[in-house]
Amino acid sequence: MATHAVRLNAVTKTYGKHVHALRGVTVELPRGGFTAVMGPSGSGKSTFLHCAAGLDTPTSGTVHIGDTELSRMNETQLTELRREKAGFVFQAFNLIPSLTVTENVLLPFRLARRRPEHAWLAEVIERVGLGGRTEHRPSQLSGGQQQRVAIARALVTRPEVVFADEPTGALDTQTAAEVLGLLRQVVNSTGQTVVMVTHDPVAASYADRVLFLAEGVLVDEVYAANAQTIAHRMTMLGRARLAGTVGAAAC
Amino acid sequence: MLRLAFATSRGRLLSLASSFVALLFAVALIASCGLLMESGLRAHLPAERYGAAPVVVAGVQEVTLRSKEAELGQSLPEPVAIPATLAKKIAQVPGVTEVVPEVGFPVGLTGADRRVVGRSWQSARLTPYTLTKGRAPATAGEIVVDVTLGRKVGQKVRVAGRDGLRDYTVTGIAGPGLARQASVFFTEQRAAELFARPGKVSAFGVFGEGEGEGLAERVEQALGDKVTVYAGDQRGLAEDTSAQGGRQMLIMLSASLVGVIVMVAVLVIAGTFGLSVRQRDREIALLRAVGATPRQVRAMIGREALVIGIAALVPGLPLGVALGTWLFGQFVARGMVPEGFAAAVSPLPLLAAAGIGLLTAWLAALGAVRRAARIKPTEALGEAMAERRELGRGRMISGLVFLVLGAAASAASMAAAGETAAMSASAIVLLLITAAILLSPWLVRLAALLASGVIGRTSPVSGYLATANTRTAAKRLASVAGPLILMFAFTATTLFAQSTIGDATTRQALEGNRADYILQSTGPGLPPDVAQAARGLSGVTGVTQTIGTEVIADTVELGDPTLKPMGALGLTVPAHGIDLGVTSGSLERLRGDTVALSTLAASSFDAEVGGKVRLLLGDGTPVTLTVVAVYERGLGFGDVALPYTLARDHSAAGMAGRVYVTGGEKERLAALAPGLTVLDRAEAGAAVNAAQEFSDWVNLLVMGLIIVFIVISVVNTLVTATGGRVREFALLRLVGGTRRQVRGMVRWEALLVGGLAVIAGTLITAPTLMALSYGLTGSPLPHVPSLTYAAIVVATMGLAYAATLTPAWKVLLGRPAEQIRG
Repeated sequence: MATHAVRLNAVTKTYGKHVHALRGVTVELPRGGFTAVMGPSGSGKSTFLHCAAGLDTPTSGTVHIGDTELSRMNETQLTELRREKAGFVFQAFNLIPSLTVTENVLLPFRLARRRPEHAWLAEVIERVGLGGRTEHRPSQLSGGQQQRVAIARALVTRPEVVFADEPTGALDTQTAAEVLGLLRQVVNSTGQTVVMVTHDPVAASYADRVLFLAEGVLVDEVYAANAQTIAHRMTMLGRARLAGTVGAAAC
Repeated sequence: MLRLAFATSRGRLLSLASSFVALLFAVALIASCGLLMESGLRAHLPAERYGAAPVVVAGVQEVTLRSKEAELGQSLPEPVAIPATLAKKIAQVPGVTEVVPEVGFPVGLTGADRRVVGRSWQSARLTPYTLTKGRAPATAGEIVVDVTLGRKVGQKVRVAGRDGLRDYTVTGIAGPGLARQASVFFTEQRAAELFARPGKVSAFGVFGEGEGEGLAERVEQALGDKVTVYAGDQRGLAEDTSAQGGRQMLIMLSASLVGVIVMVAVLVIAGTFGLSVRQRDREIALLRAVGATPRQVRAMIGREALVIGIAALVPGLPLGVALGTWLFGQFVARGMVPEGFAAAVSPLPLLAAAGIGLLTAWLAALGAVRRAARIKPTEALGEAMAERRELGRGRMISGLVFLVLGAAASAASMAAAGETAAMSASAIVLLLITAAILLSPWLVRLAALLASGVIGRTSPVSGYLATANTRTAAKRLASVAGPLILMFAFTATTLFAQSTIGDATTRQALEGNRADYILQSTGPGLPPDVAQAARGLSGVTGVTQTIGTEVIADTVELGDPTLKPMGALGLTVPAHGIDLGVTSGSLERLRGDTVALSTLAASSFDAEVGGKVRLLLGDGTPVTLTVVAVYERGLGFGDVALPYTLARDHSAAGMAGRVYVTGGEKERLAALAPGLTVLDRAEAGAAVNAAQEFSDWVNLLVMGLIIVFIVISVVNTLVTATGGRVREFALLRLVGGTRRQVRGMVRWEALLVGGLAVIAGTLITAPTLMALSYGLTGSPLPHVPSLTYAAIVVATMGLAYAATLTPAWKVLLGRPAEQIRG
């Protein structure tokens, strides 16, 4: 049994001929950790998330989730892997509007044609604080509540790792803090691995470890830093980039 | 997954409803065609005249061409006679006890308002007819008549037959009276004279032991396929030559209709399915991200289509039965199916329709399914989804290729002439429509560019916004303009092809008619004495007898042997009062084994004056004729002109259909014979061509069906396109636009798109019609009634307006501040 939840080895991703989104990223994300990936727009952080989560395949290099190597998998294998080992929280449009909260949370089980564990489902719903709202539809919920539903859905399959892509990008500061607190709490109490992509230093400060990406390369990392430190590092990153060679990078 | 599909159906109810309606309509149409086909295949007419004979042997009322792929059948317009010597062969079949020959020929009986058939009294027992009064005919001047004709024994009646108008004495009345045809019985010898086909008979009634079916089988085995053997309820078909034609028409028409319907339905429903997938791109991407495999997505969309298909069957099938029964009634009313035919309603065609309907749904879903499975899970990420793909260069190139092909085809049709040109019309319209649909985004941009100056000045707010939108959202508007162009071009081509042909026919018939009077009969025809007597009248300078029939051309089309029915005119020469517009050769020599051809027919046969052509006369007799003339007015008079005697000898009645008279006086002509109508030149017009009228009606019907599909597609596209702009409208209002201004913008857009459809449609229709007109009439100017054109324009614009403004109006009722959050 591997000690890491996700491992990337010399991962590159090239779009077309000239757009190098990732240029050889090697990193191990240990189990039970809360990792934030930061970087300016175009740094390749979304591509990093896509490749790490099996939403996309790298151009070269290997990606492991747990013990499973996924860079050679086809679309169906990747999907089944995601179903089993990954949970997702996106910035927006996380939920199917016509399904209720419970139905949305149980969607991965329905897709896998598996019976849900009802005790765990109840616990997850309780834990994200949606106890009284299981029959509501997304349109009847606030933005923060919608993200809680998405987190519940990500947790319900007990995945190896939960991937969150700017999960608070569309929320106000107060609500964002609540959602991030919930993620932090999940990591603390259940040992769930969480990988979060963000450009917000405050959001990143909830993580144990922050990775900095610039132009497709990991350039820096900090552990258990506060928002100020992270913001400072980001600024340094920006300067370094301005000073360095101008390369094409896209996300 | 299916539950999921329907759980997520809110918000795309319109697309689902469009797919449902289109499929419902398709299923109903397919079922109605199935019903028609079944009615044709199982056609039976209860025996009337042959009620007593268990088995009837008659001629084969169709010719088949055995080519490699399929047997192409053409039904024959005139009754096919069979050799009298077959009687011996039939008599030798085990179980046959008696063989009764039958000769039948239409006769004209003064005062009779229905079909009267002359027969020999010896064949009376086939019904059986028995004398209710009087006695059997003994001499050539005596007849027995059907009780329904209301004559008395001893009465003198005049009967028009092949050899003239003769007086007969009624010696007996026979019953029972028949509903579909009344009989006049002559002596055997007199009947044979009037039938005038020595050594031939119309049919044999066969009597024998045991079941009719078993006997029929044995007779069939003994005689082979040179004759048709009828038994049971099929015997009625032997009584009426038009029955076979009607039967075949039902089968062929319904088969070709099913083909058209499935094709159009698949296209339209593929569009509605595609839209419903496009509307939930993100939802599908999300499903993919959280664990739906491409296969599951495919299954979801595919099964949804099948469920809609099944749902459409429930109301579709009964509707189809109703529609089929109505169509059948129309066919009967238009005389294309003989009265007495019954519409067959059975589960088999309904099952077939259900199968084809589901297949249609499945085929239509294929594209949407493939597209849905290609959606990447990463598309669920990120904030906005812009109009994704750029307009492909491939699309433009293929559009231009089709455009060039269409232009080349229409140029080629102008170089070629006749048949080839007329036939290329349908290819031209298809090529150009495809080109227009492929190029529609660029056409929309071009239209916006050209119109923006004017519109911007006229309407500085709404108009400005509309043209700006049109330029940037060209793809969205193109998806709307495409079906509108299709609708316009298709409708205009169908209607104006008909008006062009109709107009040319009428004009040719009028121009070619040089007679002062035309004599017509209310019965089966005008006996030869009428023409003779007319010649003797003072002041009459010319008399021409004509007979309208049909021949079947034995030609080679694109390398394949083809049998093609052509309208034919038998006429006496020298032809007075008729000018066929001879361009080469002379009609003077139209005697014996000769023929004159219209320009069009000459090009089909690839023959010139002096050449020989092969054709089948109306009764299936194959002949090889020498071409003596080529003429222009084929539409007005028929594509083939035969010597009068040749046409007469192979027609059922053997009498003239029309007599053209120059000079003379109307009253004296009218007094020549009873039951005669005299028409002035102005009244004459074109001979009513029932077949052409019917095919026009069928074309209109098919056009109507296709338009319904197109309208479903246009409405669906337009409503979805407008409904998807909720946020855009909300933004415009939030930044200070009034409802009126937004509506105005939408109206300008509708005007642009509708206008584009009208212009592009007109540009597509013009070369198509020119090719058709040039091919058929020699003049490239088609006949376009301006009112019809205006109606098509109004309908196209109206559809564009209604389907854009209604949803926009609904969206504008909402509160923009809420709408912009989505």
